[in-house]
Amino acid sequence: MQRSITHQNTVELFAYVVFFIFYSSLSSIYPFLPPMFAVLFVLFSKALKREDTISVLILSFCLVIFEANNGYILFSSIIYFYILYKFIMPRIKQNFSCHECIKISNLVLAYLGYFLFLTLISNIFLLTTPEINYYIVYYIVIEFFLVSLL
Amino acid sequence: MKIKFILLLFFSIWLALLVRVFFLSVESNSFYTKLSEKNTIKYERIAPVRGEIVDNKNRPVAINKLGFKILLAPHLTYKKHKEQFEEEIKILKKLLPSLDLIKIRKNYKKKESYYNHNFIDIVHFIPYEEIMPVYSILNLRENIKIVPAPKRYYPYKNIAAHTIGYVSRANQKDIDKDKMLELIGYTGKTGIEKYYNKYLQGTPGARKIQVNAKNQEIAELTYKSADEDRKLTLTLDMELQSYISNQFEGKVGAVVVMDVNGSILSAGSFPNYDLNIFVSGMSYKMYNDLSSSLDHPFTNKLIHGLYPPGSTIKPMLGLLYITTKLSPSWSVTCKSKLPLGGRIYRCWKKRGHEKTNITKAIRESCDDYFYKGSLILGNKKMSEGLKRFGLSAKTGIDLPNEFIGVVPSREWKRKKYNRNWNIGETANTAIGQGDFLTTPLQIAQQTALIATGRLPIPHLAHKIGDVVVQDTYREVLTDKELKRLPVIQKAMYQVCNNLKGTATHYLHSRVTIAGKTGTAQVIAIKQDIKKRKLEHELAYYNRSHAWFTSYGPYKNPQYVVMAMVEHGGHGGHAAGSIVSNIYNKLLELGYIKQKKRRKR
Repeated sequence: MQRSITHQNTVELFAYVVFFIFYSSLSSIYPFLPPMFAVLFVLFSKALKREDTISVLILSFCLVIFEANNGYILFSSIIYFYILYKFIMPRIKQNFSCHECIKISNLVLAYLGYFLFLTLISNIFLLTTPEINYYIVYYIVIEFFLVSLL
Repeated sequence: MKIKFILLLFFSIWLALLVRVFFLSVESNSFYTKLSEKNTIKYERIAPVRGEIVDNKNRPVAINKLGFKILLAPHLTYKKHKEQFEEEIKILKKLLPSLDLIKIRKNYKKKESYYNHNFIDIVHFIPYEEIMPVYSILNLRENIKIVPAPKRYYPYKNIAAHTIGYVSRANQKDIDKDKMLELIGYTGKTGIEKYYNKYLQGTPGARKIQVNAKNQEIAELTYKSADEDRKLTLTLDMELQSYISNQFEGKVGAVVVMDVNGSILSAGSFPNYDLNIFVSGMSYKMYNDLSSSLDHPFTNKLIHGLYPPGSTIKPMLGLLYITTKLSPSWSVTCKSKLPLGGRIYRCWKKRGHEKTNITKAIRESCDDYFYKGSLILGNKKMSEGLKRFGLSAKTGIDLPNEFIGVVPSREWKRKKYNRNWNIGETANTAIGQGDFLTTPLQIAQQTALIATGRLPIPHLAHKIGDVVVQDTYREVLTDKELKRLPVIQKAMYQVCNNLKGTATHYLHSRVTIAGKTGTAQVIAIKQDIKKRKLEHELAYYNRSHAWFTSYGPYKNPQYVVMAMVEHGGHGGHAAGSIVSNIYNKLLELGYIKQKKRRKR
């Protein structure tokens, strides 16, 4: 009996999610493991572009796990990524033709932009301001290579 | 379309969350901040150390002895901690064998409750020397806390006991009046300790600390030290006071040495008691013995003792006589007996004083002069005048609950007993008997009035902290009274210096003084009695109260010395000698500077 291609994809995605949950837990313990936040953003953008509902849902789930691990506001990364994808990235793509530049801007906006976004919300709602550290540079570098592979 | 719907759903949830966050974090910010502070921030009050009292030569009168108190963690009597409780008690008993375990358990159980999360005070005071050898062992124990706890100590023990007063554990009534006492634990109960309690006890400090969920301190956030160690300097001289106490040994009564401007150098009430027994606590038997004693050792006779003033009132009445209806030259012929209202009013001198004017009447304490004068003056004028002089009112001394006494009058009797006044009572009032009652301090104050012409407000505080207490006085005499005051002063001088003076033979003072004796009867003498018994022939409690009030030096009055001996008999005999000795001591201590005694 031959398995349908759709089912095969779903199983694959499920495996990725399980892997991500483990990985995310480990990365929250070991800071040298990048959280794959920028990778998730690139994947999320692609899923939105493809209008792949399942992928969007699964990636949203991964992002919620990331938020939960770090104590960020629920759905804040999804909303932020959507805003990036819908309003900011098109402008960047209009102004830059260089693919590498777009990738770098993706990474910077994913990390630093999200940090600024959270800081803004935290200040408005009198919440604890998220902390930033130098590891972020390391994450951007590592994830740049990973994003290049996608 | 599906993606947009999902994202819209996420956005809606996110928005709803943010709205809730806004409500919790911004709208209800102050409410939740307070709530969280309550859980994590604790305020601790720091009990102030009670201020010290010193005498006018800076000798400590009431000080604080260094010691500690032992506190035990709460909830140790609950089943699961019971063993811990027993263990702590066992260790305490082992290390400090003098502790009373029954009392400790009682103290603990009294304050133990589900709502109490503070350590419980089980031993109120342990001397420094006793706790030091075991301090390090006890301090390591999690359930035991040892904190400094000073204890009041009165180095002079029973000297000036009534004046200084004492502190004792605050009861519920005290705490209801002043919530601070819950923290401090002790409060002034009598005397200066009570009157200046607010000042002496100081103001508590405060600590703001952060605690964890187990109510354990994590950090100290703020610290405000207590306003404490305040100093109260008295006008009393404890050396003089000790001397006077020796003079009064075995006697019952009161004595006061007062600057004519109101500063009290010495104020005693006898018998007295050791103040320290009230701080440490006394046995029931001891308390019972003291409180049931007929000599009333707990009563400060100086301001709470009400006595008929006897003849000591005569100078004040004499002044009223010669400034209202009578002239200074007005005289009577004393035949010793005055029939009045169906009774015979006797003069103390059996043969009578014969022709007597104001000077002689005071000098020889002629009752007949004052009987007859009072009948001319009338009770209304007498009582009004004496009240204007300051009687039947508080002297204003800085001691609590001063009594005011009674100057009897028609209105007073009607109000008090709903009975009519009779003429004999006017005569009785004129010799300081009947319902006439004064405190010894009032008589001393009146003597100062005669000496200087103004009524001083007696005070015991010399300095409150660094602020000097100013002498205050009231002008109560009219111009006419002031003008004729020397007549009374001269008469009082003769009491002490004329050979016929009632006090002259009993005085041996090196200071020239003026004064007045008083022998106040405590029982009525029967009308049909032919021969009066002498004072020493009477039963002790039937003997008259002996008064002697004086001021000196006569030419330049500086001090008033007044002594009253309960059931002492004749005023000059019983109190005159004490007063003489006091003047000599004043001379010795340098309070009075007099080169030589005036010749009689």
